Amino acid sequence: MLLSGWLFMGLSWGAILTLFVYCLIRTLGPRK
Amino acid sequence: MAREKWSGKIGVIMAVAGSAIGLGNFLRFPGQVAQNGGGAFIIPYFISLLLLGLPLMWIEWTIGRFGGGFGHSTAPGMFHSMWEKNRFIKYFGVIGIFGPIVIYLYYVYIESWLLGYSLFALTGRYNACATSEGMVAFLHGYQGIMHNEYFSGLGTAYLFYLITFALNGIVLYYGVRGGIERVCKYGVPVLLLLAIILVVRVFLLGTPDAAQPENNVLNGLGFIWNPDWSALKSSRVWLAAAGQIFFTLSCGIGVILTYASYLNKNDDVALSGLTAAAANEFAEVILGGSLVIPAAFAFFGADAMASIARGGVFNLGFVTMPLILQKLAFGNLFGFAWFMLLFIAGITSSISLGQPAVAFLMDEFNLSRRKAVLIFMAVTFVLTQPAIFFLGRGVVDELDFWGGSFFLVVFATVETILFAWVFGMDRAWTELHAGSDITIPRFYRFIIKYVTPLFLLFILGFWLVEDWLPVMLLKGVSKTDLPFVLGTRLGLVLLFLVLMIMVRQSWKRRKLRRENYAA
Repeated sequence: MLLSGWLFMGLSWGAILTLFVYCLIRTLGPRK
Repeated sequence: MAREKWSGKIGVIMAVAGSAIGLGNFLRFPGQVAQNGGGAFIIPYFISLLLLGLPLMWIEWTIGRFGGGFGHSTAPGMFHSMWEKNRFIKYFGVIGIFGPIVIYLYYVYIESWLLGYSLFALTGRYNACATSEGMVAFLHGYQGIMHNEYFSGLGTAYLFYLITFALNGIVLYYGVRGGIERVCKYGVPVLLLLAIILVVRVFLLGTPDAAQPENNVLNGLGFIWNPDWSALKSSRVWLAAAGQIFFTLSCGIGVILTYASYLNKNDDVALSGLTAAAANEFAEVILGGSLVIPAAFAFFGADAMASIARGGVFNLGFVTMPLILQKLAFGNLFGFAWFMLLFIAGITSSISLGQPAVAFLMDEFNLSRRKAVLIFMAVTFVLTQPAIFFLGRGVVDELDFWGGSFFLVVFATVETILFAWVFGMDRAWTELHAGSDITIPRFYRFIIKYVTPLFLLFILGFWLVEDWLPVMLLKGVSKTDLPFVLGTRLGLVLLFLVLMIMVRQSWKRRKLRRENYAA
């Protein structure tokens, strides 16, 4: 895999995981 | 009759995520990425998610909750509640019941293949098929397209269809909370767990054949992620990305409207919609992108990949993956995990396709859930038979075109314009944020009002000219298939007309009741 491939995969995974975890924390956490 | 409600936030998020996470996440997405520029495809994909996917999610969740407040669980009543002065808008809403029924007709049958194959994997029934040709013959034998040493007729497929059809009916019968929510609360985590187990196994494949060191998982990931920048110059790639986002989120079918209608007036929709979309993206990009293509590359190498990626979702799911998994230690168990994962993804989607029609009968005709489910099952059972017995005659393609492509985009365009322009952006924004757990950035007002409708109109126009007109004009349909395709089309027109008449009758009855009450 090329460096650019790693970059795309890393950024995509990072963005989605960040969004997913943020949503889970906000959803499961206490309501503001 | 008291309206059904979800037990809480998690229940509805799981149900919407279950509806969105389907076969497309694990089979369609990787094929699209591999064919459309690899990593570069992700750029238009994410842009489409931000400009099309998330706005549509929020629009549908908001319209659904709004309509539910008026006692409507389906689009005709919801659209009418949003634009009371217009007598015709409720008929556009018919698409929100028609589309899910049409998809349901073939989806449940395909879902039943997955149940069958998960048992075949456990019992090793397809283990004798060591080549792609053998596995294709096994599939065609199962589908009844050919008689061969594996299957002598449709009997096995029909048995699994009956079981799957009954399972869907039972879940719908138990209702929103007791059926759909319960299945999705367990089903979605289980399918994610199965997918994670398979991804870990694929990553551990390394280099399966030491004589061909270039055929390994890392190069497989490279096949899917290495960017081909020239692809970004092609409008087809951008449209493919928009299409993938559109189809993956279950938008434009009407099912999210129905699910959101069971929320309370001040339940959050902004964060819930975002969470369901994020769960779907997790399943698609991270899990779906790490399974079929990297595994196929590691086993078959770069030369075979182009034809595998182009071979379509059925070949990836029913031919390529079982061939790979049966080569592994405990291959039967991994094969079972693969097909069970897809079956769960399928059933959590198909129940969402059944619910709008059931809810329509309950809300607009005051039928009990039992009667509504029985009528729905009787009608869909009869209408599914052509898809089963004339599978190779273009019936399923015809159903998929109208239910799964054309009307989806039309419906999404109508509801977006209705939401942003007729209902009005100020009211829409306030409604979206009622009881909200997050504040959506204000620039989304602009996106929802201008960008999303224009994007949809552009997609509608482009696909109409490039892809849809030839299908509508029956180009490329062989003479032998023509009667079957035309018969299906006629049946769909009749179904649409019947639903329109039902809407008309229901509104007449409602008006009469109001007049009697006033008198």
